[in-house]
This record gives sequence, structure tokens and C-alpha cells, in this order.
Amino acid sequence: MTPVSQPKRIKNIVILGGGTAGWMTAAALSRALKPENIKVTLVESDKIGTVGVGEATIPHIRTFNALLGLNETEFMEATQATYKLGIQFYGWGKADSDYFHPFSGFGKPYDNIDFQAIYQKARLAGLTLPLDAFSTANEACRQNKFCLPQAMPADSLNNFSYAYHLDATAYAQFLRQYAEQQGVTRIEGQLQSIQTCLADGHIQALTLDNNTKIEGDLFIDCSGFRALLIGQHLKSEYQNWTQWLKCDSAIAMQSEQQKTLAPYTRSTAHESGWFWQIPLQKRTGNGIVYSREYLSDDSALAKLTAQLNLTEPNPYNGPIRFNPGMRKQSWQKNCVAIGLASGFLEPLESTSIHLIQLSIFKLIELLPGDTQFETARAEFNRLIKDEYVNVRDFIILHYALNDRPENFWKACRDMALPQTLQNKIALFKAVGYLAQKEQGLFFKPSWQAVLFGQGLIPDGHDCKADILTNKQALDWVYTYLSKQKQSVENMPLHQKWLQQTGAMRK
Amino acid sequence: MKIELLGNNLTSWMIAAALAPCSQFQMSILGEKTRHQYPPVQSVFPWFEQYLELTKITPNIFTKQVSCQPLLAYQVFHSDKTHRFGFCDTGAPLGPADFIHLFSQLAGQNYPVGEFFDYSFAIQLAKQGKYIQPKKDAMSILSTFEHGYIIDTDSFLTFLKNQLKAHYPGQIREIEEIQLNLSDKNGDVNQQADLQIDCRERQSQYKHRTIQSVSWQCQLSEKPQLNFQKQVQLTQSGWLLALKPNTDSNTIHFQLNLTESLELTQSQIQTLVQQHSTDKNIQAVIPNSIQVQEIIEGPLIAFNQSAPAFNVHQTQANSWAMSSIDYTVLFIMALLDCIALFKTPDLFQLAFNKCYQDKLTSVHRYQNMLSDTLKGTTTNDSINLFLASGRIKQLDPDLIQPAWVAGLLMSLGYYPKSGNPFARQLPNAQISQHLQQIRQVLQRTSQSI
Ligand SMILES: Cc1cc2nc3c(=O)[nH]c(=O)nc-3n(C[C@H](O)[C@H](O)[C@H](O)COP(=O)(O)OP(=O)(O)OC[C@H]3O[C@@H](n4cnc5c(N)ncnc54)[C@H](O)[C@@H]3O)c2cc1C
Repeated sequence: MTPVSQPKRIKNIVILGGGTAGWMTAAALSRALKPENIKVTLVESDKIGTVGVGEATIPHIRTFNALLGLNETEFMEATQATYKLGIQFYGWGKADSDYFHPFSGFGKPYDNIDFQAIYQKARLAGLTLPLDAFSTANEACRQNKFCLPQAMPADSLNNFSYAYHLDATAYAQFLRQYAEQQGVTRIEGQLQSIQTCLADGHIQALTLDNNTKIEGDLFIDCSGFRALLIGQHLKSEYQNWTQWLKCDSAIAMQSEQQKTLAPYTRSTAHESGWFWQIPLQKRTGNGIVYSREYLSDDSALAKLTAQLNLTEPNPYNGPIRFNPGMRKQSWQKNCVAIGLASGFLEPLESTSIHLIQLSIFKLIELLPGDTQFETARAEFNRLIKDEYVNVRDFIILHYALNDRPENFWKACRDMALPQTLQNKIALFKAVGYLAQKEQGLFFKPSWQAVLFGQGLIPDGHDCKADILTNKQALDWVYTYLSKQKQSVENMPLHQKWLQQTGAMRK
Repeated sequence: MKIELLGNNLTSWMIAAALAPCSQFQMSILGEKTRHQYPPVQSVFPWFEQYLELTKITPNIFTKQVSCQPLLAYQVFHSDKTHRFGFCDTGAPLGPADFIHLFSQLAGQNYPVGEFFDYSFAIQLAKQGKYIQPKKDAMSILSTFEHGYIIDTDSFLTFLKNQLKAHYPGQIREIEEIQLNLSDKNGDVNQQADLQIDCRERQSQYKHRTIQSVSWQCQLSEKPQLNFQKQVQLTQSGWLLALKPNTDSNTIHFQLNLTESLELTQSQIQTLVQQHSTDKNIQAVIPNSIQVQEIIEGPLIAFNQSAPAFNVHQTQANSWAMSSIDYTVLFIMALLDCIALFKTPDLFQLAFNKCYQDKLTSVHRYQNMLSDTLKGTTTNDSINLFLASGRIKQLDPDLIQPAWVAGLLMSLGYYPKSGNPFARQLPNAQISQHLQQIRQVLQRTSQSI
């Protein structure tokens, strides 16, 4: 009989890694657990440092900050944050196409009829505006305006949500301060060896280069792409999705602060990938994402430099290599991988910090009292996998539906898609049908934004909308548009709002 | 758009009522009137209100004109105890600690915490035979529950017909003369329609009557105290359900959903009814009230060529919670979700089947929880997850709310393993005080109603 270690009460949780993933995990655990019950220790190595990118977020981060009880103004000042209403995609469908994926829906439904169907009918009556025009968030983006939805006057449209652009290193520092105040112990040092229980392969302790030994009952691997515990030690298999997500490299380069702060991330497609541009309070975060098969590192650096109108490159970080995919099991034995150690798709939709947050929330929900982890582990792995696949399909969509002439884009257009995504596109193409979804990320409006934005106009519309004539539909969308115009007109400039509220010093 | 509803029965009229508010749908209900073989009194889940919304019938009009009553709680008899659960939240969390963990922690240490359902407002109301309409206001205790209904199906059908004839006279034609050839896939129906929806009764392929459920009514010696509740009991033959169509009724309606469909003679059916009508308050089984529901082969989700088809016969078997009306409502929701795809039958079928099946899966999972808890099955993943961590597995979409599942499991004594880290860090005295406060608030509020 194989000896199995007895289940014991969880008293020590050890986090390896102090990047965004490590400190977010530490902060959330320290908020929920009292140190006299369960002690949380974080190990990080200043010598190794963090990946140093990851500046755009999605609105869910606000739930995370609220869990910690953070004050928004303080948080924004400390992380040099700006507001984000969505992402602008430039040159994605065609070389000159331009659309937004906003944190909002489109238009207003008519008596339970989705706005999309009304919009499609209005097109039959001669409307030429894109769906994109019917979003308050998009309109605010175009005018570089922002205010909190709850601060909008009562009779105006406040049907949008928001996230932040932030300095990732500053965010980790901010969370570190928070977590340490709540009783998390930080230990500096580099991992040397791992001690495991022979009986069941559970990790028992980590030994650092300074000979410190840290024992634990549950280990959280936040060691980034190295995946020291989950990958190198426990050999949890990595599922590679490069057949669909062809970009595998990035270079990041900072530039000066934008003159007019945009309340959105800009993603500009290039011949073999895309550039990002993220406005922070005192600087702009930029980068190029590309596929090495189609673009060399040198050419990528030159392209990024040219894109920023520089003659010489500014100091840069990279090339950063990544391998789109995920661990088949993010939780193995007594080790949970969170952050880059568990997987990485690519930064296109700023989903990584959200996936970190999701893992933390699920871990907290499922955390058992003792080391009998089997049931929690299975559920955790199921939930994380479902969300990764969902995000994966959504990101692939941006690449698959394109009309660009370059080889990279042609390969993206010609690749065989996952069946789930194929079905989704076919159903949408027929009549604009999109299945209802209630959990996780990317509901109908997100899919509508990208499907229409990438140039896929459905052949038909939802027949339930035929309760209206085409002309009535046209009137409905124009009425909405004028209300939207009025609402955005009264919004302040993004920059001004940041200063007014004290989130940014003048 | 021309829509033909094959079959003239409750299903076709329910579908017609949901489509009628879209004035572009012209509907024909074809075939002789038939009475579906389902029980005359049925309960429905809270999402029935979404159906009413589709029909533009307000709950107020519905409750005034249809013989029905709100359903707040299930009452399950098991091991000489009555367990209660419903469509409601129970208790309140304390910081990051869920109520289920707080309750389990004290119960595990033999604190006198009472029953889990003592901390649910809706269950307290049901226990006292009281009802008040829920409210959406998150600050109000009235937002902690939803309710289903118990409905008299004949009265519901009459109401729907009257409503449709009064409000949408030009939109619905009832053509009884047409002969629908039941064995033929499309019958002799007019092929001019844009969409056909098949709601016909299928004919049994069996020589003998293979029965999946039996229903009957009994006269009681005193007025049955079964207001706003449905009784459920797992007997050796199957699920025995007891309900009243409305609060004034002096009769009680029984339904026995057999675990396995059986070929039964008339006298065997009589015996079955007698065996299950033993309550001391029962005066007599009402003559001619016995009805049987036969089982008929055929898939639950079917597409008759390009037409979605509803198979009512498959809906009753081995179920304690879902009624035929529930199934019809889910069918209608899926239909309305995908109806735009009617011109591309393959895509229509793909989307419809996924949409309908996902809904069914979530409800079947809930139903299985009760069977598995009563039978002590240990292989139910969802229950095991709950026992290990207190987490309720959710599907996407899931029609069943996590709080309903927690209510069911906790009410039957399935508590999550003790030692939840968040509950454990709170002193028992603090938890006990929290529980006491909740009870007091519930008591005060329910008494004032
Ligand atoms: C190009 C690019 C752009 C991105 N953009 C976005 C974005 O816009 N939005 C978004 O949400 N996400 C983005 N991401 C992802 C985001 O950067 C990461 O999810 C996030 O930074 C979390 O990283 P991490 O903490 O897992 O890893 P890291 O930041 O790499 O941290 C790893 C930690 O492990 C420690 N460590 C490693 N080895 C050892 C050792 N031997 N001993 C001790 N400690 C060790 C390190 O010191 C470090 O503290 C982007 C990623 C890339 C590559």
C-alpha cells in the first residue's frame, strides 16, 4: 500500500513570486484570513524581477479593489492610473478599419428586442453608421472624455463601465504595502530547492539561496513564465495554442505622456501582429506584439521605434517570449498556479490580470480547511479551463476575421478554428444570433463589437424586430444617437476629470 | 411570418401566447382539440414569470383569472422528518464567511441552531401558511426570495384562449377541421408556412399502456394545510407529490411519478392509488379523478425535419420538481431565443438544441440532488463538491440559483465539512449571536404579515 500523508489543517500558505499575481494573491488572502489562523508568506527575488508589463485592465479589477477596500483616488495616484473605457482596434479588419470594443452595450433595446436587430433593420432603411457609433463609451473615447457613470446627470445615458490603465510595478508595490500591513510576511531570496513528501508528492518546503527554509501546507506558484513549482517541479502539462494564437514575442517601450490623455487602450495592427499604446498619468506604455515566424526581433524593434516617431529607440524591455496556452491543470497536488505560471494567452484584450483575479476568487471560494484538496482541485481546474477557453476563442476571433493582405494575416484567416468558435461565427453570420451567456467574461456586446468591427455583417436579422418597420427602426436609432450626443457633450475631458477628483496631480 | 402550430392543446396555446405580442407573427393552430395527458394540477418554477412577461400578461391578471397559488416551498417527508426548501436565500454572511459555513460550524458543535430553513424568510412564511409578494429592492427582506406557482391547467388553458382571442383576434386562427396524420412527419398540413412547430400528441407504440405517472384527487376531512407549498415524498414506486390548485380548495391533488414506467391494468392502477392515499385525513378518492400519463418513445428534444417539436410525453418521468408546463416554458424560451434562424434549419437546430438542452441540464442536475440525497448516493460530483467546500457548482447558463441548491442540501442535513477557514476564524459566540439576530428579524417580520 502506498503511504499517504494524513490530511492536516491548513496553517501556512506560501506564495512564490512577487509580481502582479503574487501580490494580488497575497493581498486578497490577507484580507480574508487572519494571520493567527493561517499565515501567508511571500517569497520573491529582487535579482530576478518581474515581467514588468501588464498595464491595461478590464472593469472586474474594481471588484477586486473593492474586496480589499481600496480607496479609488489613492489607488489611482499610487499607480499613476488613468481610466479606460475600452480598446480601440485600428487596422484590424482591413488596413484602415477602426472600431472600439467598449465596456458598454450598444444602443437601447426596444421592448425586449435587442438593439442589434433594430440597428440591422435601420441599415435596411439607409443607415450607414457602424454599430460602433451607438455606444456612449465609444463616443466619450472619440472625444477623450470621461466621468464616472454614477456622476452623470440623471437624464443622461450612463450605460457604460470602466477599468484602469496602471503602472504594473507600482500596483504590485501598492498591494505589497497593503498585504504587509495585513500581516503577510515577505521573504527576499531565490529559490534553490524544493522539498516534497515522498508519500504523495506534495510540496513541503522551499529552500532559498540564503538557506532560509519555508514550510507550507499550500503553495501558490506566482513565479511567472518560469513556473518553477507547477511546471518545472510538478511537470503539469502545458497546452499550447500557438496554432490559433500565432504571436509569441513582444517588446515594451515607454514614451512621453500623451498631450491629451485618451480614456482607452489603442491596439494598432501591423503586418505581422500589433502595437499597444496605454496612456498613464506621466508616461505612455507602448509595445509591439509579433510572430517571430513573420517578423525578426530587430525589425520589430525598428517598427516600434518608427511607430513612436522616434529616431532611436528609448530604453526597452524585451524581446519577451511567450507561448500562448495554459496548464492542463493549474492546481496540482498542493500547488496552485496563478498568473503567468498558469498560462498566458496574449495581451490583446487585457485579460491576464482578470484571470489572476478569477483564480484568486475561486481559490478563496474553494479553500478547504485541511489538506484534502481533491474535490476543490477538480472544480478549480474546471473553472479556470472554461474561462481560458472562452477568452481564447474571443481573442482568436480578432485574428480570424480579417481582410488584410499580408502573409501573417492570411495565415490567421485560413487557419481551422475551434469548433465552438466556428459555430458561433456561422450563427452570427446567418442572422446575427449570439447565444446568451451569464458567467465569466465577454457577453453579447463584446462579441457584437468585435464581429461587426472586424467587418462581419449578418445576412439577416432577428425576425422579432419586424414588429417595427425599417423606418421606425431608423427613428429609434437616431433618437438614441441624439441622446448619446447630449450625454457625452456634458462630460469633462478625461484629464480634467482625473485632476478634478484628485486622482492626478496638476 | 406565418407560423403553424400542429396540435391544439395547452402547449400550442402557450407557444401562441408567447409569440402573439410580436404582431408580425401570424399563427394557425391546427388540429382537433386534444387534452394533453398531463396532470391537471402542476407546479412551476419561478422562471414562469419570464414566460408571463413574454406573453405581456401581468402576474396580477394571471393570479386573478387562473385558479392558482404562489409556490414558496417544497416540503419533503423523509426519515420521519419534514424538510423544507424553496427559491430563497438563507441567512446572511459574516465578512468573508458564508452563512452555510457559519451554520454548519455551530451545528457541528451541537449548538442549538435549529433548522437551516429557520433562517429563510420565505420558508418561515410558507410554514405559517402566509404569503407576501417579493420585491426587487435589495435592501428589503422581500428581495430574499422568488416564488413559483401551482396551477390548474384547465383553467390556465381557458384563460390563455380568452386572452388571445380578446387581444390578438386577427393574429391567431384555430383550424380544427384539419386532419393531422400523426404517423406522418409533417401530416397533411399546409406547406406554405414559414415555420411549423410540432406540438402534437404522439401515439403510443406499445400494445399495453406503459404508464409513467398517475394522478388523482382526494377529498379531505378537514381543509388541507398545504398553502404555498408542495409536498414531496420518495416512495417505493416513485415520487409522490401533493398539491392544491388554490388556497380555498378542499381537495388535494396527488401525483405519483413512477421511478420506472410500468405496463399497468386498470385494477393495478386502482391499487396503486389506494396504496398512496393512506393519510388519515383522506375521506375518499374522488371518483373519475384518476388519470394516467403514458410514456411514449421518442426523444425529448426533437426536430421533425425542419420543425422544432415538443414531446410532452417525455416530460413527467421520474421527476419531483419539473412539470410539463415547466418543460413547455423552457421549450418556448429556447424557441424565442433562436427563432430568427428559422430559414437555415441546420443552424436553427444547432442553436435550439443547445439552448434547450443547456436549460434542461441545469434543472435535471437540481432534481438529481434531491434523489441522490434521499438515496444516499455518493457519486454526485455537485454534492461532493458542496460537502468538501460549501461551493455550489454552477453551469452557464444555470436556471437554478446557488442559494436554492444550498437550501435543498442543507435542509436535508448535507452540511459542508467543518473547518472552513473563514468561519473558523470567528469566535463561536459571535456566530451564535449573528444567527440569533437573523432569527429574531425573520420572526418579527413574518409575524407582522
Ligand atoms: C507583452 C505583455 C503584455 C501584457 N499586457 C497585459 C495587459 O495589458 N493587461 C493584463 O492584464 N496583463 C498583461 N500581461 C500579463 C501580465 O503582465 C501578467 O499577467 C502579470 O504581470 C502577472 O505576472 P506574474 O506575477 O505572473 O509574473 P512576473 O511578473 O514575472 O513575476 C514573477 C515573480 O516570481 C519571482 N521569481 C521568479 N523566479 C524566482 C526564483 N527562482 N526565486 C524567487 N522568486 C522568483 C520574481 O521575482 C517575480 O517576483 C502582459 C504580458 C505580456 C508578456
